[in-house]
Amino acid sequence: MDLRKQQIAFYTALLFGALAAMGWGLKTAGIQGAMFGFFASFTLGGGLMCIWERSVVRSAFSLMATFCGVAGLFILLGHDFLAMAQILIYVGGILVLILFGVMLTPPDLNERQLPRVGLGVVAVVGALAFVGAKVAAVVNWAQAETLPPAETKAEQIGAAFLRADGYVIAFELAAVLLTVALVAAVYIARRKPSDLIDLTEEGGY
Amino acid sequence: MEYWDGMKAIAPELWLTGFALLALLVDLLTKGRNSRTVGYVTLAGLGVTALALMGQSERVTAFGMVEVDAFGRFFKLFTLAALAVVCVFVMSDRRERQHGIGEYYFLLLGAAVGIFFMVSTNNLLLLVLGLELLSLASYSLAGFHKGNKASAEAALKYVIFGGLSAGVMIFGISLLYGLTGTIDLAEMATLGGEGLPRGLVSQLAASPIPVGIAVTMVLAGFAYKISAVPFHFWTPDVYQGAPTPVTTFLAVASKAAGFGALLRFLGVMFVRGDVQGLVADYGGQVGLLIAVLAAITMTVGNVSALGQSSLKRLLAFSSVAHAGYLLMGVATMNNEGFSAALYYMAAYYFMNLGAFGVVLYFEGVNGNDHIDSLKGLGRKAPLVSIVMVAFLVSLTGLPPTMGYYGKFLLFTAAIDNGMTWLAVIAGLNSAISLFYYFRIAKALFLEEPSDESVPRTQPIFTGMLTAFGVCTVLFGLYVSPIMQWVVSSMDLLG
Amino acid sequence: MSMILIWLLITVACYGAVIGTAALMTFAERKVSAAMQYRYGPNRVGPFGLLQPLADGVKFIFKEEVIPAGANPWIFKLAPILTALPAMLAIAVIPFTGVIGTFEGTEVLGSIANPEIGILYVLAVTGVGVYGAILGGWASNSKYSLLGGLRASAQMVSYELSLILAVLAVVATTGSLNLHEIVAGQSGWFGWNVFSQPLAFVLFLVCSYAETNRHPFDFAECEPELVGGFHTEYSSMKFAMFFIGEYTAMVVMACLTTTLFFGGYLVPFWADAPWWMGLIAFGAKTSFFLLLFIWVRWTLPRFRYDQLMHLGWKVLFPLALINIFVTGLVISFGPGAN
Repeated sequence: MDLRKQQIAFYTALLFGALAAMGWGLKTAGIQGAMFGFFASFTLGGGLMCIWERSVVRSAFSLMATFCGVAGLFILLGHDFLAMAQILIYVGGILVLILFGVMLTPPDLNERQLPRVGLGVVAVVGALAFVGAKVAAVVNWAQAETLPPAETKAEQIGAAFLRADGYVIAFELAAVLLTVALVAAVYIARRKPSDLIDLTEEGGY
Repeated sequence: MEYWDGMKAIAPELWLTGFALLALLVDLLTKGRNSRTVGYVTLAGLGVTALALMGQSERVTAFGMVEVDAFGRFFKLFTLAALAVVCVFVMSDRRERQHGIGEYYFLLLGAAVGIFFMVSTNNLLLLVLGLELLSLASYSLAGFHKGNKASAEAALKYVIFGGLSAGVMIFGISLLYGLTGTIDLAEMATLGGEGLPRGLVSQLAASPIPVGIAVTMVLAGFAYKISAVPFHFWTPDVYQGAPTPVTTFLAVASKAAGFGALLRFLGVMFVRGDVQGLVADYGGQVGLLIAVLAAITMTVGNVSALGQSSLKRLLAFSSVAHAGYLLMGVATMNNEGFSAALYYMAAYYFMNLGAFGVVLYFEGVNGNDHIDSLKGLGRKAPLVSIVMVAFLVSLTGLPPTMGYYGKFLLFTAAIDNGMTWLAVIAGLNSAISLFYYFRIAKALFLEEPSDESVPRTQPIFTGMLTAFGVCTVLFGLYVSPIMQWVVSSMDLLG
Repeated sequence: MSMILIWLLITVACYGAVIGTAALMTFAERKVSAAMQYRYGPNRVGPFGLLQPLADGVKFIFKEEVIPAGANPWIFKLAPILTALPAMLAIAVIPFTGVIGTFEGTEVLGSIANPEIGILYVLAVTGVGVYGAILGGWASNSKYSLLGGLRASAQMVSYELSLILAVLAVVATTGSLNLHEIVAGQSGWFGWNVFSQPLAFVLFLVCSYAETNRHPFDFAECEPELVGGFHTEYSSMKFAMFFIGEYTAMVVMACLTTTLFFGGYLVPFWADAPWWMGLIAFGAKTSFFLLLFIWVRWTLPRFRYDQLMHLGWKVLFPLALINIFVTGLVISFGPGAN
């Protein structure tokens, strides 16, 4: 099979998978189910495209579908604040930076050989299907119906971040983490001529 | 006032964070010219934090997430002690001074903050944050020699392996959260019934398979931090490529933190006194999984170490093997085994810090860490070489050293809990390890030196190494002080 | 049923108004620049040349479409859509006027939708707008385009931070993410946020110019260096789509500036003005900021790229942080704190 045919086959399969998911959702849970199927297939389809595509830029770009799908799932769960934050941070920020980095790399089509990628897809899908079937057979799905109502207000999220019995310590630790990451990144990225001298050749002391 | 009480409880962490920022500031003010000042600031920070830690006695939960207890204190003091030695290594190594020294100390202290939260929380969210903080700081520290290809390669490998295993671990945690409805380990283990959060009991009653998948995935993250097989591939390259003080940090502090968090994870979830019935039984099976992991880890580590010619690589595989021995104590899933692991950790502190210190010393003398370049150094630097032999004996687990007593405790714990097969494998492994440890001793004492140059002496550095050597032997003969500390620290399962 | 009809009417009106304004802006840009340079500008098509945008549109449709060799066809076609779509999406929550009336027990508002998290939604979708430039630049398989795309992504990510922080200060003073509530919070004498948050306003204004790729921050397409930047290789309607997206984004940004800092649809000194007066007030305020866009473009020279980054990270970002910090202090401990 040549490349074009493979691409067509892959995307047709993806499309049918998405349609099947939406149909299944519509049958089991009405419009909400169909929406879930739509967003879920967006999420998974983006991930699959990411490993299928040969060009890294396209792979990175396909993550946009994943992030948007996840945001859609958040909206379905009633967390519109989280959904918007997801788009703002992941789609509007992180993915842009990934693309920025990836676009500067030279295109190397041999790097990601299709047979290898295809094999990886098959292996992952097989493993997931196996584990999924096992899990699906035993998990008590009824639990999902008893979930507590979602705290959707931005105010409540903010208060939970800062209350002493909430997540204040995790919030502050995240701040420390970001500071450390920032200093580390600046150190690694900064280039001074003296940094480029290989010091291992000289003796110590 | 709730905030104030909580902040008092986490005072050591706050001091450490404050001093990390101070180190960066001092570096800025001295314009990076006076690297020793930053080092002294760091050491002062470690000292203040240690004092704040010693001042804590009661057992409290701060901010609903941070458990302040003796178990956490053991690992925190351990980390501080290890960091102090790493700082002395950095200060006495001329090569380290040429880089951004302020960032060096800042990242070390930042990593320590991560360790502090990692080993003292039952909350999986905080655990992940602490782990990531430690990892991020370690990645950049591993690549700190920017001009050096090996260092850059080490950092890259560390990042890729770390990212992958952290992803697997977080996925496992999200599964656990989905299954139980809570991210607090203690709640997860003890809650039952139909309401939310549901706890593990009802999940296990329905089926153990999803829980098994989730726990295995979380264990993968820990296995990476403690470099257990099959997540050990990064270890030799990173240990070899990273600057030697950083390697020491990774081998001692980072690994101990991984074990601390692992012990707390397993202890609180499966072993604690108030965990009963299905969950406790399931803990036994997780223990079996860890036992298998331990057996594979020590065998792979020891067999791979046999053919190594680089000292740092050799010690890297040796540290993989030691992760296996330590996992043996974890696998027993009871107080005896956990205490044995804690004691062995203390032994590991002295012998591994010592061994890496000696490697740093020889690196300074020879400019490389090849075993052949050690030839005849026993005559040129007798004191350091003799101390090295003490470390090697302890690493092998022969009397009269701490390593011997630690292994004795671990073997006893394994046999007492019906894992005789594991003890036998560990015994065989110790025999294997004798070969490669002895190769170093042989190079030092039984072979002729290649030249006649005499190494410069470094009184403080040599003195510290000697002190470690003495401690390794002394605490091996006189075990009660450390043993008492270990026993009093095991309040995790109460 | 008729509720849906009203809703449809509002939707059509809002989109018609914004896109019409965007089309008119292309004309206004040429006319104003001409006036500034003592020229006539377009004056042949229709009265005063008013039909010029229409003529341009027809011309674009009939041009030949060229897809360069080696381009990535799918992404190449997707990029213009990704420029126009986010700007269009943002229109959905902008409050053009207050309560129009009550119909079947429901209040009819002067915006298509009124979500609780309105401003966050606007920020999220406008943040996506950068993809058109990045992917268009990359997919064109041309080095000028690629450089334009890279510049666009770096610039937008840098300035988005300060933009969000400036908005956050406004949100903190109002205590709501809802755009209608933000407007309602600005009533009274000197109630406009521009008086309580002057620094945030300046930051927002500067960053909105960078976000819309307008002068003096139009590095993604600066002609002397990059031919046409990320849209060098585009022609026909795809090129027009980039322009529609860009001008719509400008209109959206002007609307946002009005809403966040200048009291939106509130009429000064007239507390209970009818809804159509609110619409006129909103239109007038927005028109001023649209004019400002053009005014700035034909007045200021372009930055150098390193100056752009310096301004973004070392000036605006710290200022925005200080602003939010001081705002927090005032809210917690200042007059009126509980």
